[in-house]
Amino acid sequence: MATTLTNSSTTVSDTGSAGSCLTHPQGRFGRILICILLTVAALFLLNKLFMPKYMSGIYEGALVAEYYASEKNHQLLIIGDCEAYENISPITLWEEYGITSYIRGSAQQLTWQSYYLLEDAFRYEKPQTVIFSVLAMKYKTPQSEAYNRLTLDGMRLSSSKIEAIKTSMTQGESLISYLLPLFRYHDRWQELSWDDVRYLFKRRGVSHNGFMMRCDVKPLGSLPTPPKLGDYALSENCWAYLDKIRELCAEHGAELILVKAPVPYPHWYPEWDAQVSDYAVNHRLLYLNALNELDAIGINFTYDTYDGGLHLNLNGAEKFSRYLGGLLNERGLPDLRHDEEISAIWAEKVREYTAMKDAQLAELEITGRVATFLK
Amino acid sequence: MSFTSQNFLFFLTVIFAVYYLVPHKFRWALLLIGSLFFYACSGFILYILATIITTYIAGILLEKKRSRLVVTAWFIINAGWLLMVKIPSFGLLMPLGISFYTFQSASYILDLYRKKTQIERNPLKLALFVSFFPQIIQGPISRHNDLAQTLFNPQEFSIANISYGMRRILWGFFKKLVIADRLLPAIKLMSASTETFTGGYAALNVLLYAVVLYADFTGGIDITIGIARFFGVRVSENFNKPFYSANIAEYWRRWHITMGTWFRDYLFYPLSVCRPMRRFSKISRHYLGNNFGKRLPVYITTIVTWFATGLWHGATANFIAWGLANGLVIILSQECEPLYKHFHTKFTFSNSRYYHGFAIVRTFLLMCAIRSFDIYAGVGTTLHMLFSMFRPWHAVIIDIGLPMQNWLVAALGVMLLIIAGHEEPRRRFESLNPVAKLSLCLLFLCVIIVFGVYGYGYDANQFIYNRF
Repeated sequence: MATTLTNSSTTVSDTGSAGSCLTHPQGRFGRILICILLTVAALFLLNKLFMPKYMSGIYEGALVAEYYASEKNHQLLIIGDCEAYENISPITLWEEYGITSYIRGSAQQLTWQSYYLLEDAFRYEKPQTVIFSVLAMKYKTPQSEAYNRLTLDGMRLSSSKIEAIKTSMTQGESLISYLLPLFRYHDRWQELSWDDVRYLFKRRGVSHNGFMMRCDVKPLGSLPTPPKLGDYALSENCWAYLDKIRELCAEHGAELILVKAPVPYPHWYPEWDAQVSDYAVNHRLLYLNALNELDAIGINFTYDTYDGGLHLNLNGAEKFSRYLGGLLNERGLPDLRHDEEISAIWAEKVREYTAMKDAQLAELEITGRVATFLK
Repeated sequence: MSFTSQNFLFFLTVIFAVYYLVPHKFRWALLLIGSLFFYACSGFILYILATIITTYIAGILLEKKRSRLVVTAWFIINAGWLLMVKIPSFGLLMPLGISFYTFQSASYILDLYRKKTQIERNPLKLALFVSFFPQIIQGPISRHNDLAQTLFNPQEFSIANISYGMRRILWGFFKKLVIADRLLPAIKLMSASTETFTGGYAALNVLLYAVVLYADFTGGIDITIGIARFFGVRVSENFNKPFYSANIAEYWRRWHITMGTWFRDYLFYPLSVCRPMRRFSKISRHYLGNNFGKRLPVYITTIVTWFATGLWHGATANFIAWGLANGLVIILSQECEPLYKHFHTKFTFSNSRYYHGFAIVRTFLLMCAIRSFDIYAGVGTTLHMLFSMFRPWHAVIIDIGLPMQNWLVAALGVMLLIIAGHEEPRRRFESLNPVAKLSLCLLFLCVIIVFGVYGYGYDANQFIYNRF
């Protein structure tokens, strides 16, 4: 017989009536199962609803997830931070050299994150060449939860994602909050917008095969003097993950190329350059420090950067892509423009790319700035 | 490991998953292993082991001979150690839950001495009684007679127990994560900047603290009771709608019940009837008359008891002042009893429910004022803040760090607490079929997940009573 708590500060009475759910076991258990399934469905929906969509403001957060919606037959994969996704245009590589490529880039992507993103990408396709943007080698440890989220939230659930999370978590972060992001974003109920409903299941693209286009111009001004560092040695952790990237590429028969983008800031110290250079020599890799090729590329920092030298604008990115494309062409990446099926896919990409370029240029002409630059 | 941490939830899941697979007679042993592991994760396990060992030895000695010396020795060691860690100037780190497990052990020793409970000859079972993990960090302070019944004789797996436990846990998490932790930052801010947040803000602060402390402490006890019930163990209730008390004595019979009854049974009563006090009573009646002379020893005992209660919370001037303030108000109420009786006889409206409502509000506000000693640092500051409430309030709106949406959620949460405190909604809930109950609980779980204050970017707040 059930007892009842009379002296309770709570609403819960100790009736034990749940035991009666065994009276008609089959029907009851069926309904209980439905309840549980409905709750799981509700939690799934809430998870989707509360996840940031990155359809305005910080668009970079949408980049990693966007990869899964693209076709998976790229000759070239580019991994790295903003030096990858803002400075190289896959559309130019296609238009000029018939090279199909995708940039698996994300804001402040760390070396180990690049490795796991590459490992993840190899599940879907077998690129012939992989470019790794080496700037992230300067980070020894995970930097911040906010940047981690921009890279890791968009990854599909896999062992690569779990390992990427484990190696990236800063203090106070937990694996469970990545696997069930509702535990991280539950407090977004205060800031939910129409975008969260509109893009609940399907988000629009924000990039052009991972490239984020900016047509505006802000000339290079004076850069801060590079501070002297106590220790110029790139960290063992980064070298270990670069080894893993190299081995992974070798395992999949892809050539690895190391690239430093042609932008002067953040500083890329000669000491770092020498270490990466030595690594490339020791492992017979191509290392392109594009800062040494500015004239050959044709970069003019009065016109080719949109933020005073941190990133290239469209003009600069197209110049660098032309240079890079020539290099890749020489190294044997074939021109696929004769393939009708691929050409049809890329024609659509080129159309969208051109439309955005025109839209941005028109906006620039009217307002003097690019406020809306997405597809 | 806080109850609200992921590690604890994982730990609980593992223990629960294994518990009902273990043969009946070894289940208590699993709880002991779990309890010691839980405690070891929080550090300072040597202190609790010392308490267990001294309690066991004292118990064995008391069984052989009912010796006051043994009890005194036990108290010198354990209560002395408790006092030392409570005094801030000693600079000792306070082991988790030391006030609770020391008092629980003390009740066992005193009950043994009074032959009110059976000796626990198995040292490991005694260790479980002292260290049972759901209640070690904030009580309730259980008696050996009550707890041992289910702790060492657990029931079979019961859906009723699991269902009840789950509901209590959910309700506890709601109070803690949705209400208490949401309002706590505002209290921290207002309590830290005493120059800025005077007057109306000080009044708001003590009112909010009442809500936060209630939600935090009762939430923690709900979780404790719920977890214990998962294992078929019944621990004592610790609250009975304290904010519906019409006077302060009643309040203390409804708030932190197990602590109140501990002081009543093991300090107030024994002190009231001890030989020196009886002698003092005779003298006081001789010199002060039969009325006040009879009451004076009771008042002295009351003051001593409340002094000790303050000391139990912390050996600081604030807690001592808090304890003494409680004692003084209770004594004043008793001294005014004839006036009250006269008032009630003369004015019949004082027996109406409106007057009863007034008495409830009066008691609530009085308790809020006394609780200020727990909010502000220093007795002087506390008095300054209390007096500032009675001076003109500045009509300046200052940000206290809570966006409007948070106020709204907290207000809705408090409304739910009030509604849920009434019998009718509880009766209606209980009359629902199990599937409907489960649906509501799962919906409630979703509410807690969304509106709870937890996760990255938030300070993981310990339960307030963990510090005692």
